Amino acid sequence: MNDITTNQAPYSTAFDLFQHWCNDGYPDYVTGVWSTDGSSYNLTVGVTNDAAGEAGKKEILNLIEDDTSVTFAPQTFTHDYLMQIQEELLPYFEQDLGLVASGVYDRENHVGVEILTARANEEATLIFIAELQAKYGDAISISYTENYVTLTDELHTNTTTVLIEPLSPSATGTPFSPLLAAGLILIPLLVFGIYFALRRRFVPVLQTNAGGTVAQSSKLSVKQVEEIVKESSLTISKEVDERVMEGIGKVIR
Amino acid sequence: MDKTQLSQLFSQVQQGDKDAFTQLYHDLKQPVFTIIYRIVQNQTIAEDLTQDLFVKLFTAPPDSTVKNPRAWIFQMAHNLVIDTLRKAQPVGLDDVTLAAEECINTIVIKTDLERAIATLSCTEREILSLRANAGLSFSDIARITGQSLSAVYRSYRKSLKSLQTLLNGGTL
Repeated sequence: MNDITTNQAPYSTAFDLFQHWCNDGYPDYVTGVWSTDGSSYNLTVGVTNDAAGEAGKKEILNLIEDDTSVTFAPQTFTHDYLMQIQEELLPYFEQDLGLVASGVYDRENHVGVEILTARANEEATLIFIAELQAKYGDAISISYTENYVTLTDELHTNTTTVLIEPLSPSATGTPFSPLLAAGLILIPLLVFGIYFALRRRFVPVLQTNAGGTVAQSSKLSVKQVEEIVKESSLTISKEVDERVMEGIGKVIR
Repeated sequence: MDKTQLSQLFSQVQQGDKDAFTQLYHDLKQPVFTIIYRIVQNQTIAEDLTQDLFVKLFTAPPDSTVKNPRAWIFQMAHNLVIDTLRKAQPVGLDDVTLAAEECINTIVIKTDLERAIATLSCTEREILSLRANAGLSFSDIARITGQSLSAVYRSYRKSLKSLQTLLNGGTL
């Protein structure tokens, strides 16, 4: 992400500058960008409500030829910070907490977090919500939804990023019959038992980067796989080291 | 190495400081090479591209306005690989990779992990490595690859799941 400096070529309109930000990242003082009047020509740029924001406004006006195409709105949280929150929320979608969507809302200057109403009073969900509120305060806004839309891609309204994740069966709010509940408990137990009885026969052997082999006593979890990938940097040959340094030497000469 | 240290090194490299460049090279060569290799799946091409990247980095390092120099380097690696693959064949990136994979028998694949990674698509391999080996944030990866944040995250999780299946002896 680059800071915008006044020695760069000016942009015709706010939209041109916005496109530049889309590629190179928003400046620190920007909180968000949205359409002022529904067109892509006139944009409102949210800026932090402090000295940096004030300086940023002047900088933006210097960068745009048609400065009537931009309006400013003072806001609290920077866009980078909201994106960071959005990123921190991603792993929670894999937990059974009733979290169904989240997104950075530029105009509202918060991260919207949507929780399934049917799960709202469950202990795990309540703790999750309380933790979010304690950690992020006004930077997040919790809302509840009855229905669940099974979209997998972003919604392009005034929202920068919206995640919609698949709904787990237990999150539908449908009441269970006792028979179904018993089946749901017994079947996994049975499968689990069979798996434990058989698993030692299907133990794979993992070859390591160093060439050794590691006999796995149990199946690898996703977390373990992630750790293996992280530790799996490949080694470049010494010949390349020499070629690079030789290349640099030529440049210096 | 944090952002400040990296920026400091880059400003020294801008002034032609060879020692600073050497330090930069030794700190970054492994993740850069890993990512390039994972995309092109060819040792020779990956080494050549890594060499090109670092020589370019020395001749034109990022200026002080670049806020995240680490992400900038991997953006540069991404662009270099894409340019090279496009020049090689005027077809889609994944198609090029498939063609490269036909030659895979000639490459010594060191580990089961690399064999499993080779089954992922080109984009999946890049996202996986940018996250796991370069340690970039999902937002930075989204910017580098031109994909949405959610698409990047889903791709990463899907890749880990696929690798889990393969490393546990299953098939996809």
